[in-house]
Amino acid sequence: MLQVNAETVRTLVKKSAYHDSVTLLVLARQLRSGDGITLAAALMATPANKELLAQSGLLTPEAAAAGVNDLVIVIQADSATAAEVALSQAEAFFTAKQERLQGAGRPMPRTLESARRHLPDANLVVISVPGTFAASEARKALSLGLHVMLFSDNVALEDEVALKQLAVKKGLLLMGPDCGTAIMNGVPLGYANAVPRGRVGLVAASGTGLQQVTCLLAARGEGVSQAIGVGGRDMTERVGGLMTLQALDALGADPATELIIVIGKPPAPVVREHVEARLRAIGKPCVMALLGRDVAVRQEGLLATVATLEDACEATIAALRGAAWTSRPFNAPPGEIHRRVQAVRQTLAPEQRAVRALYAGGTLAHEAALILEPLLGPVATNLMPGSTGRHSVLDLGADEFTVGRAHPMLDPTLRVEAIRQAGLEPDVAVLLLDVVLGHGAGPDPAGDLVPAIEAAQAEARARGRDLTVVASVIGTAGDPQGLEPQVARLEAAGAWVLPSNAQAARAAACIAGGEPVMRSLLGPGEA
Amino acid sequence: MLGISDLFRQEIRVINLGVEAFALTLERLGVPVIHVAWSPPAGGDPRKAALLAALTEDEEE
Amino acid sequence: MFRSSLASTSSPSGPFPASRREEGHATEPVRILRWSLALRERILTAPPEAGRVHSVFERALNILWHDGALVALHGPAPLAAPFAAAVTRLPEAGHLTPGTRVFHRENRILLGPCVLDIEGGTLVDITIHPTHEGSGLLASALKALAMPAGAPGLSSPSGRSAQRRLADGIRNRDAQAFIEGACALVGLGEGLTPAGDDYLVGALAVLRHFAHRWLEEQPEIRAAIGAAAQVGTTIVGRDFILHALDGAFSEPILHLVTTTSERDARRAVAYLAETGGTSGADTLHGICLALEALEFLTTRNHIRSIRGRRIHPASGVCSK
Repeated sequence: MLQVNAETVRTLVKKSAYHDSVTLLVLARQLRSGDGITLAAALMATPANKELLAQSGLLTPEAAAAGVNDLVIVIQADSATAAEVALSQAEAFFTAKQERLQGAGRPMPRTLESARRHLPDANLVVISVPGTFAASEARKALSLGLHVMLFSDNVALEDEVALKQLAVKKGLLLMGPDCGTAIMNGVPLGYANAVPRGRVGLVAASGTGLQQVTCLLAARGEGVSQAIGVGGRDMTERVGGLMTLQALDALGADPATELIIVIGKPPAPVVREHVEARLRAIGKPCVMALLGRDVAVRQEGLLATVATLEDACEATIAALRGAAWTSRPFNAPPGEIHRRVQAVRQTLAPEQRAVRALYAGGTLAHEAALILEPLLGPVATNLMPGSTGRHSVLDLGADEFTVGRAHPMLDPTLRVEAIRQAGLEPDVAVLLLDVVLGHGAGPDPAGDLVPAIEAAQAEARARGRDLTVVASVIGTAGDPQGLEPQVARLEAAGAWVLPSNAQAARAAACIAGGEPVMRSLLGPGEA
Repeated sequence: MLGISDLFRQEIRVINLGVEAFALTLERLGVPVIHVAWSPPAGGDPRKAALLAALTEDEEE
Repeated sequence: MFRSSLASTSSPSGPFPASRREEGHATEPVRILRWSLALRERILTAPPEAGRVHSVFERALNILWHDGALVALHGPAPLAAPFAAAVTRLPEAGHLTPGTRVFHRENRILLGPCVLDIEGGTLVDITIHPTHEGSGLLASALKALAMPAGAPGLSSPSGRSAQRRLADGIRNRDAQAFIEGACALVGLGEGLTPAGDDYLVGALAVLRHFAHRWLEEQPEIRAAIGAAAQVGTTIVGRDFILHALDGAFSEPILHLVTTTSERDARRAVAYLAETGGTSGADTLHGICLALEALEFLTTRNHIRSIRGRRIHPASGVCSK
């Protein structure tokens, strides 16, 4: 067995790489013909082949560690540079091959009509083209008898109304505009989470609101029959709740749906009347989660109105299981909350009194602002232009932040920057964050933020302060990122992770506001 | 409304216009999907495009 | 049937319909053209979540079936693997990525946007059955043909010694030597199906046809090689070997080994020679080695019997 010359040998391991023999032969030949290459091998890392490599002094540690279904490319050259060059050639070879394979023979329809010829029984068109064209594409789809999910925002209000009227006339769905989340027949569409199929139907004028409620339901063992997005403006007076009513009718007639949740901001009064009348006619229990100031929480027959996303879940569970429920501020016992908050507050400097909330989800930011304000006083937020206050809630997915930039759920750069900044601000006591998982989110949303969190904490410490981070993770065990690993990642970075956005906002309020806030939430507590 | 109830009983089969990532996610989940390499019709003029679309719709109805 | 299908295929690399990039090409459902009884059984009895796409190539794709083994699909051609089905049109490569879920619904298989109709399809017997004929015909036919070069890995010292042991095992009816040679070949050499696996499969095809009883009477051969295949090679190689141990082979191998005419043998060799990188060539070399070893045995027995001394080999020898 020859020794490996670490200087001039390079290894490339392609895990679970299945390339046909001709490809591998061509690659090996190409590599061997490179300048300064003395040996090149492209082999599957079977025990027999590792032995072969060892006999030629090519069994590098990486090759030895590879598995039987991994492809190992080992190159020996007469200089380190030549070996590096060959290695990047090998990489390029695979990239080019992949691109060829993807492009080879794939039908490339350029229009909706031609796509339909390739998939004749398509039933849903998902549209995320620029707003100016989205309306005509949506109209085309509806005319062809197809349901539509319209991601695009920037669609004119008149167009929205006309499209929805057409959809209603044809008995079709038009989810949107600005609808990024839906779950149809168990299929997550857009930014949605992996939740079980079940008996709860949802109609939502909010994407992350839908995500929060469905994830909380999943955690309590309840699944979703259908989750229909209707676009943020549907329940305004101009649009008149056209799609909401359409969706409610469908869920009402759906035998698999036992309870309906409606999520959004408080509707225009005339729309609310129509919606409630329709719900009473349907006769299934319903929970309306309306996120706004001074929402009157109440129960009227089968219809419950709640003010937070978490309460929507709780009221649903109670209705389905025939129990009564009362809203409670935290899952954890009050004593535990007290202890944790006191421990944190002891580390705060006197000037640290503010909550800095940096959100990717718009509805979650809105909910946080609505919870913080009654507890802490005025909150400055870009959700309400002109608002001022010591505390701030920023929705980083809002238009002013996403011009020329991807949404923070895809590109964390802006939020990472803002988190670092928070460490430099002397009045910030607590940083409040949302971390949203699911399809469409990146592979490691928590991991994206951890370096910034740690940096901010380090900055604060260097200035003699402690910065607390409070967060909630919106996701399920079934999501590609996995709820538990993501929570663990944040906790390892020192964050206090609460089970819901509402609880996280309350915890942040307790930290910034101290005893008075805790008393109002938990009652007189232990010292 | 009958149309939506029908949809509840069918297999979701998607035509994706715009962001390719959405199509790729659906593919990975085993949902039948076809991606349209969309480009603005009518040479990129939104008004012309809307006119075209309205014309097509008239034919349908 | 083989003759006509060989004649209809323009080249072993496959007469697949040109992929259509133009719009307006209607999607007809894809149908099964030919498959083995065993594969049909595996597909028809699959649960709704039948498996996931494992790997995608220009002319074939593999599905990791729910039972942990592969199912391969390719276009119209003789079955290129014992676990393959030929379909009317291979789903376009760009449509399917590894990991795409595959579903079984009634009489269809759904892969991404592709729908495969599994109601029909010619049933093909891909098991090699024992024969009472000698291997002489095949051996002489092959001797007359030039064999293409095999994979470099098989010419390495380990490769050569493995081949020698394999041959010794067959010549001397020495199961242990055969096992040593075979296990040293498993996973050896270039290729997604390593060259040694192809080589071994070729040899097993010959033994299965001409020395079936010996294989049957040495169950440790099957057990040892099966165990080596489970851990010592790629998933594709593993499945080729395990099927071979059960007597199932690709159609090209089956046709060559069971040929009854020189002309057919020539055509079959030409077909194999062009398969894969060196895959077909490695298979041919394994076939040749096994044939030579058997011929040696036959000749020796013949000479001995002429001398009037009947040797009763330790275990049932090939027919004669």
